[in-house]
Amino acid sequence: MTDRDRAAVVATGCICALGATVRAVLRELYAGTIQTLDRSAVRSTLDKAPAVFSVTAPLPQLPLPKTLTRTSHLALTAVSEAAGQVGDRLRELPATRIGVCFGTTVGGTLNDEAFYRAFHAGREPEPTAVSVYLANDVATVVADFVGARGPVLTVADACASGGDALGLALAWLRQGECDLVVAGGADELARFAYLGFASMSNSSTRRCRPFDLEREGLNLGEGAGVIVLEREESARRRGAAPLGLLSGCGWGADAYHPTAPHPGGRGLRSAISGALRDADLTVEDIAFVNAHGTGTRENDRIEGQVLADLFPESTPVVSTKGFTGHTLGAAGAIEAVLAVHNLFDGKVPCCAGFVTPDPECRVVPPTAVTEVNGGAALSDSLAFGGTNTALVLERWA
Amino acid sequence: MYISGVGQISACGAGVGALEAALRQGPPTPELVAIEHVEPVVKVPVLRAPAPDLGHAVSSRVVRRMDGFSLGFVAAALQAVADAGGCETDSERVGVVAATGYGSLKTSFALLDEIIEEGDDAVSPIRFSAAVNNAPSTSVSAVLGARGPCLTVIGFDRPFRNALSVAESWFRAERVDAVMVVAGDEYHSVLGYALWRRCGLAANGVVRPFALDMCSYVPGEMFVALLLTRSAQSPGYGWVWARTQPVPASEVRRPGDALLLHADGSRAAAALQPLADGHPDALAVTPIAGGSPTAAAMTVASAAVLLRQRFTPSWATAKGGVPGGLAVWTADAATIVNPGWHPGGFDVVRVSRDRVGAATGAAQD
Amino acid sequence: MCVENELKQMILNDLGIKDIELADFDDNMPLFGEGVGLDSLDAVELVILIQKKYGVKIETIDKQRDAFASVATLAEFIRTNRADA
Repeated sequence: MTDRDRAAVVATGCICALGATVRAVLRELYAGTIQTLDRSAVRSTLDKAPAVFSVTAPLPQLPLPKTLTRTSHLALTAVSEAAGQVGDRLRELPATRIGVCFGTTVGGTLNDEAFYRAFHAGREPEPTAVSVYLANDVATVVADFVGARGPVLTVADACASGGDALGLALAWLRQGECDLVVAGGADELARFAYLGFASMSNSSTRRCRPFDLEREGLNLGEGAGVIVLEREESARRRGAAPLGLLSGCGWGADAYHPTAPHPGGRGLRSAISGALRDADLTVEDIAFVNAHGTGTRENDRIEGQVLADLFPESTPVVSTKGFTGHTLGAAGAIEAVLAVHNLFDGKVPCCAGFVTPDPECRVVPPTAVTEVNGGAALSDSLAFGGTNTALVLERWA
Repeated sequence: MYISGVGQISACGAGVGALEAALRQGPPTPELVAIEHVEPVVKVPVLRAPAPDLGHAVSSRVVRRMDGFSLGFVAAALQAVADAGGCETDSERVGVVAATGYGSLKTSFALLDEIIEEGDDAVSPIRFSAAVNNAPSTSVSAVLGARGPCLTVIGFDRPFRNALSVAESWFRAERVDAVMVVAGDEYHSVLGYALWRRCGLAANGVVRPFALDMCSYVPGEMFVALLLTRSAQSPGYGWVWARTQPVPASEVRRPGDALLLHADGSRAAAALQPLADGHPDALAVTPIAGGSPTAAAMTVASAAVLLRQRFTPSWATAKGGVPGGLAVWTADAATIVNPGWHPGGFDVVRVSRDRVGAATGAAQD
Repeated sequence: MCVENELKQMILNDLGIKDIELADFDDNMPLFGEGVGLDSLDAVELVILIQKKYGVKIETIDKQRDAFASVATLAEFIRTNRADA
């Protein structure tokens, strides 16, 4: 095992506004289905309430002894789907050789507003909300669910959390820390984040329009994405039929501003070139990019310019946030799941919400489902505070 | 990974010198702090940290919008750089990993206060940006100019231990030449309230780490930074590594190592009883800063200081001793043990003067 | 205190601008870029602060760019639009 080896994607799980399983999500993705705009999923008294993408599918009942937060519940729904594909591996491996690496943002905060309002008003409520919070570290919840007793870690790196979790999982496998990793990200819609993004004028009352000339901001979303990873050579040896490969991860920090990306996108450039180097590939090998593309003026302008500088014009750049919303800690993981399956299927969806090119963004995403023929894809995430993560995924061959 | 510099802010004061003084002289006395919104007044013991003071180390423009939580991380990181005698941090080869359990409690609840008192449209964008869980790590990255990997690890059982493992994996993958690992947690009335209601606080107001059959937890605020480098920087402290897998009691301590139990007075610390019984010379320094999800960082920093300065605080032993009473320290390594998050194993971190003694392959050691 | 001075206090205290003295803070100094040197995060914070203090709602900075040029223009905008004017 070396530090350049690849990890096989042996299972995936996904739940988001598009659907509650990978199959349902992909079906709606390629069909171009966009959820009806929803302003009521998050309660607020804002005059101009930003729109959100919510998970409307009922979540399955899970036989657990404790109260789950919605973030944990979303995580376990996607984990359940993925675990069903690798049940044998989970049973045969010693528990200490199974790891869990998960990203979240909202899921890492105590955001039971009803409890805090009662506390603030001096009503001395039962601190059940605090107990629930302490019992819902998402990676621990997932580890308990799948019986993992190897490395267990939760990343809270804002919008890059999901991608970070996959990058750390890849390192664990390369360095022999465990033999299988259940990795991903999950986040629920929450008032705290909703009101915060609204206060920053970052969110839009209308549907988000990644890279579009008229874009006005992001729409928050919720969901979970899960990828189960195993070392490539181990998957080959046992004759598995993985869905793809995770080949590389790159990280770069802007070290610049609390919320705005570096004007030259220096951290993103570093992350992308690092990921390609890590995967031993070049930009010409990349069949498409699943971009961060939130629909904010700043992100899309800077990300677009970086992608246009680095990749040939013929490389499709797609943001799927027009289908899912910005799922924060889940985003990097959901988007990696989508990228794996798009590679497998040989096609990318349209960039929902994009209509009119913006010369400042430079990239011109596809407006229809587009065939792709290459063997590799890149998925990138840009977080508040300027941390950037890029993943390289490949077809299984 | 080599601990080249240490920084900290806690109830001991600010800086590694203050930590050493507390180890020599004995732990600070917890304050009694009233829980907000509770009548009649209930006061709980807390080991609070002073407000971070960056002095003139950084331009006010760079830090003006950081909240107290991020400033704590930044201050501790700058101390660690200074303690290392300076270090080139403006580089893509320098990474930052932050660890926290609760995140920025004060700012988060201040935001909720704004929403409750003034309405949904009264949220301060600056406060919100500071409340985001990765604000401390990106703040440290911005101040240091560190442009390598940067992320934040959270959790309630082992975030600091996990942060060390992340740094270790970056070194092994040759992504970095230095990593600033910074851990921190704050106190807030909500926490005090929950602990009080759940009877999770020290009845007599002080941490008694070796009284493992009772609860003597005192919440503490602290920020701890370790500047880790690939090669030993003089004078530095020693080599550090964290075992990824939980370790059974019989394998926790190498012969000749000093043993520090991270016994923080919580109910979970009762799991350390077999080690306390089997190792009567074990130390526990948790009274100096109290308990928090990331307080293990303080025990590791303390181990590093004791390893370098070579004294054993007798107040930190099971037998106890007069504050200021010191014995000689003879070990060339220290093992720091946390209760494992799953029964049957312990989380182990080791600090050693000798690189050979700090295993290169954590999983195989 | 006149609106100009209130705005200056707001900028110096709430936005943490410590390298400009109140006495040197000219009403016509550009707020963004060169001058006071505020940025996009300061801009959205000012929107909320102005809303709380004066009851003036600003939909986006983009729509009121001219008003945010300096303390002088901002004070004038507030005086024209405030709820109790």
